[in-house]
Amino acid sequence: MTSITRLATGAQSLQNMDSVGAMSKRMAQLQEQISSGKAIQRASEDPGGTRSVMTLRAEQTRMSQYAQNIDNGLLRLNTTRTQVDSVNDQLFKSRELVLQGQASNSTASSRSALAAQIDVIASSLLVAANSDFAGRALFTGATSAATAYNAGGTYIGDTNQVTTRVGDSGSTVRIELNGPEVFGVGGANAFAVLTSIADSLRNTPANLAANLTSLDSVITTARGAQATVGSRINQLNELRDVSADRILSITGALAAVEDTDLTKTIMELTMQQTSYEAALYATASIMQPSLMDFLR
Amino acid sequence: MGTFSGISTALSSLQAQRVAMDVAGQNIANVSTPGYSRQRVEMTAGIGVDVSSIQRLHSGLLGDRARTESARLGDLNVTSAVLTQIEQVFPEPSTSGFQSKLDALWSGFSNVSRDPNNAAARIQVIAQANVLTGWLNDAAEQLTTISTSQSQNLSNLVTSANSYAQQISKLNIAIGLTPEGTSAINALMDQRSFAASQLAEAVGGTYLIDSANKMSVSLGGAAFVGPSNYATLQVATTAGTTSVQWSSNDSTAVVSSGNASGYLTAINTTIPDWRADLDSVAAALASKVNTAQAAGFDLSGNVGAALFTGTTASTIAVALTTGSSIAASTLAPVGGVASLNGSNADAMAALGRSAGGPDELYQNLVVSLGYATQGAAQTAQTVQAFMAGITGQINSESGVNIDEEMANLLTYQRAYEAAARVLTSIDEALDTLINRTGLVGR
Repeated sequence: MTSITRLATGAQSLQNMDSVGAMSKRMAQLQEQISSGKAIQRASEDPGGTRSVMTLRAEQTRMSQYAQNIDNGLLRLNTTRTQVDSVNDQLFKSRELVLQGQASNSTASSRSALAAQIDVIASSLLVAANSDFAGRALFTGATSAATAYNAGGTYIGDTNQVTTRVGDSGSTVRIELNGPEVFGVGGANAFAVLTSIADSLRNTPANLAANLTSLDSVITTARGAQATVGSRINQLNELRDVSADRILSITGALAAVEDTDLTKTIMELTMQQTSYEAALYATASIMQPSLMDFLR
Repeated sequence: MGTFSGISTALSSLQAQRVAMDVAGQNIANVSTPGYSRQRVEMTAGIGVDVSSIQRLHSGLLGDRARTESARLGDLNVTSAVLTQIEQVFPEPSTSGFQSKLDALWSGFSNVSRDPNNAAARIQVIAQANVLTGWLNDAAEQLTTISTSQSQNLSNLVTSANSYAQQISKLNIAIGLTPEGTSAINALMDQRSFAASQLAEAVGGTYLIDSANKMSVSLGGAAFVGPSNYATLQVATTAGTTSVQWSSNDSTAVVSSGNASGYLTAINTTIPDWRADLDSVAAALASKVNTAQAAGFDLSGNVGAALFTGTTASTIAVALTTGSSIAASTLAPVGGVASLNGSNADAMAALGRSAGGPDELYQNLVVSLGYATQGAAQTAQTVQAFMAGITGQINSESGVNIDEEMANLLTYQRAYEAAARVLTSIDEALDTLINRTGLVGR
């Protein structure tokens, strides 16, 4: 390249216009970053950063979804706990009634009164067993059946689990208990036992001892269910904290990639403005004088 | 030495200085004319002074380099502009782009999984699926629009290239008829080199000036402009491929640089490539979701039907209309009672993270498009800077500097005044000789 020895008048202004134009373009870009608050306006400005933003945002959406799932699971489990607690209370009450029926001072008429109370407990247990959460029966497993037990106290749900997703890879938590897990299995379930207790109280008090054994096993099952619900609630509570932390750290990472560093950008804008003004001033003073001004 | 020869000497100087002042005036008048090369009067001493020629200060070599670079730049500028337009079809990163719409679909599936008998959650998935297909259809449409506008640009460009070729050919003839070393031929040559630089930016080509001062232009070895004739180009599309052809025999013209090359690459390669990538996003969305649907059972206990139809961005559509058709359950109905299991919906919610899934393909598309756009802009910028250097050199050689012209004007004006003074002196001498001598004794 040969060096430029003479400057053409037109070329001078063209070159100045080029550099002034480049500066005002950069200023516009900085102003856009400040006004939108986003450092990346288009993928081509930072393709790598764009990928991070897109994956982080997808992750953020997923994590908030998991947080919602956890909250929803907690609601359902808390409802379940209320029902299971009351089931336990009523089973204990029926155990007391059986003990009263076995007592030496019990009479046929007192036992018949006790049997009537057992009947009331049985029907209230059936209501608890068929209770629902958000329009869906609590203890039916995964079927769409409207109730878990029919009027005869037979389980008509299934034993498929209902789970909710709380994390990306394989992390699901069970958020239900099915009927047999709370009320006992098949012929030994709470309803069958209570029916036979009522029958024994009315007709064959001698069977009450055997009934008590069956009832105790039902109570053990129900207490187990109580413990299970409690531990699942604890698990979800912990997961909720973890998920809140995770969302916070993703939000932070996202901000680091995509948000405008205001201090830095404003400083750069100010510098750019200063050099822009300097360039304009220089252009004005270069372009003004020519020999024409001095020839008269 | 003749008695009156001094007068003609002075006269020749007066004439020469007048010409020189005219040329300086011409230079100043054209200080901002694009393509103008400054002119300089060449004077030689004879009896008095002769204007031997009016030189045009122009470097053929620099002109050649400028044409080559502007052809390259023409190509790169179009490529960069087209990529920028394509990038605008995919506005990422943003909270309203396709990625966030995908995220919303997967969340929707997760909501169904959590609550399979919630009709609102189910219909939400169908609505979100419609949003996705609507966006894909629209993006495909926008790519078509970009392609159409590039075709339009190409045919306009070919029209103007033809007119430049015709102009160069006519100027060749006019230059042949104009005497050399005159302002007139200089103006014609300026016009011709301006037309050549415009033609180079449009279609590239090789430019040669022969000994008879005729410019010929060839594209890939085939003559576009000859010493006395010129050819015509046309745009043709055969079997989906657009090309520039010679009108005379419909054979393909080799266009390897210039705006035309940029348009051809955009129409034949760039836009179809990104469209194929977009289509693969649509195909992945349809196949992943449909496969998952088929693996489950809907709210009525039927095997899940395909949610999407079509496998390209322009044809993809939502086939299902009711929320109950979402196959949320992995369990078959038992005794006619559908299961409220949500595991299949959960599996569909996880499709956003699947390898080769629509999210991954879309992110790859956006990121590689970003790199391509960035790269094209940077290459164009580099060549632009190089081009600015060459333009600077050309301006330094051929551009008008007003100070210089004013100084020349001063010189010529003073020389004119001096020549006039010489004429006056000779006149006075002759007056003395003719009118005042031989009067003794009168």
